Formats: sequence, C-alpha cells, structure tokens
Amino acid sequence: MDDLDAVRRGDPEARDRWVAAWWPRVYRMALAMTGREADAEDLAQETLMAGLQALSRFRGESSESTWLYAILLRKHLSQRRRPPPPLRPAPIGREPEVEEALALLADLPPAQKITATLFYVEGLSIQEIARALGVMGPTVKWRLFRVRQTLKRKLGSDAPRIMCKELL
Amino acid sequence: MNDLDERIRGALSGLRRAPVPDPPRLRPATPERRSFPPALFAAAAMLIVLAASLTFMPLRERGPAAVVSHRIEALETRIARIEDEELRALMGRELALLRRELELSLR
Repeated sequence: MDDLDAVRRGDPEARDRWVAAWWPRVYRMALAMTGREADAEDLAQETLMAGLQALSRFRGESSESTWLYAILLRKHLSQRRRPPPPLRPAPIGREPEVEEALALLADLPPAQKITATLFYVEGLSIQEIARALGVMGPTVKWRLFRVRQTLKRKLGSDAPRIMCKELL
Repeated sequence: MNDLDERIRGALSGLRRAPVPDPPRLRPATPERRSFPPALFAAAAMLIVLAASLTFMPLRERGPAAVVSHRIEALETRIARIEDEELRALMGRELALLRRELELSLR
C-alpha cells in the first residue's frame, strides 16, 4: 500500500514497479481478449495507463486485479467500437499450447471470453468476477454455462489442432 | 461438469506460457503549464472596462417611449387646468390612449 501511495504521488520508480508488477497478468488477459500479441500489447498499455490515471480514485473496495480487469474490459469494448486497425500478422512460432488456448477463446463473445479467462486462467471466484465486471453472480454463472457449451463442442471434436481462422 | 472444467482449464493454461514482452515505461501525460499571455490580460481589461461602462453610463430612454411619455405629462398638465367636464373626459380618453401606446412601446 505504501508503494501504491508512492505511485499516486507520482514517484516514477514506484510507477515503473507498479506497471512491471501488473504487466504480465494484464498482458495475458489482453492477449486472451484480442488473440494477437500486437493488439494485446496496445490494450495492456492502455489499461495500465488508464489505471495509473485513475489510481487516485481507487478506494480499495475491490482488489487491484479485479479493478484493472474491469478497466481492461471497458477498454477492449471501446476499442471494438472503433474502426478496426490494420491487420497485423500473428508472430511465427507461437507455442502450440498458446495457439490452442487462443483458438479456443477466439469465437467467444468478449464478455464470455473475459469471464472464461478470469475463471479458468486467473482462478477468480464467481463473486470476484461479478465484482470485477460489475454484473450479478447469476450472470457470471450463465456466461460460464455458455462458455462450457461452446468449448465442450470444440474440445469434443478433438481436431488434430484447433486452429482459429482469425489467426491464420 | 468438473471433468469438462478441468479440460477447459488445462487447454486455457497454455495462455500462461505465452511470452510476455518487457513492460513499457508509461508516463501519464502531464498537464501543460498554463501561461497568461498578454492577449489574455488585454481581453480581461476590456471586459472590466465594458462592465464599468455598463454600470456607470445612464441608460438612454427608448426614443418613441420618451416622446409618448413627454406627451402624457403635457396632457396631464392641460387636463388639470380644464374645468369643463366633457372636455376633461375627452382629453382623459386621449390620455388613456397615450398610456396604452406607452405600454406597447415599452414591450
């Protein structure tokens, strides 16, 4: 919390430490949402920048992570409303496990995508996800139900490798 | 359902192995220092002069209203001197018309 106060005061070193501490989690979440490394980097940067600017208003009523994920979802949804950026190629030589995870998530709507990632990857509880996304618990359960339905089909097909058409 | 959850969790765990680029050095934009250029002072001075002139300058009466007002005063003076009732009544009607004209000109 002392470090957080230092970030709020504008201490550049504390700010760098805060960004470095959150960067991997926010970047991975952004990657899950966008499916592309370059877009994920942009989204993660926008999220953390918005987080830095709004940190003075953060009262600690929720955890920092859920607060940041809420910002990330808002940023992602507002990015989707803008005209799409020029298509950037996915990096060559992506690990198959990463490819498979992204392909699984690719066809989910954003709300289900972030819910699935928070639940299955970040290990957040339903209540934590509800707080982060500003929805009721039953909504989270419903989204997870839809995620299970969709991913069951994809996993059940047990294709040689799930390939996402967006990533090809 | 637990088995499915485990499969999904296992499949999505690949995300944790995604290489993460170096964290950026984020610098929130600092607001520009506000300066007071001479033009701003000049504009402020003009506003002060305008406010003062509006406060201290007597308001001019509107032309037609002033004329009608003057005629009403003159007519009132004349009526006060007339003793004939019929003539006073006639001039009183003219006075009422003039007052009505004044009201309309002030709208």
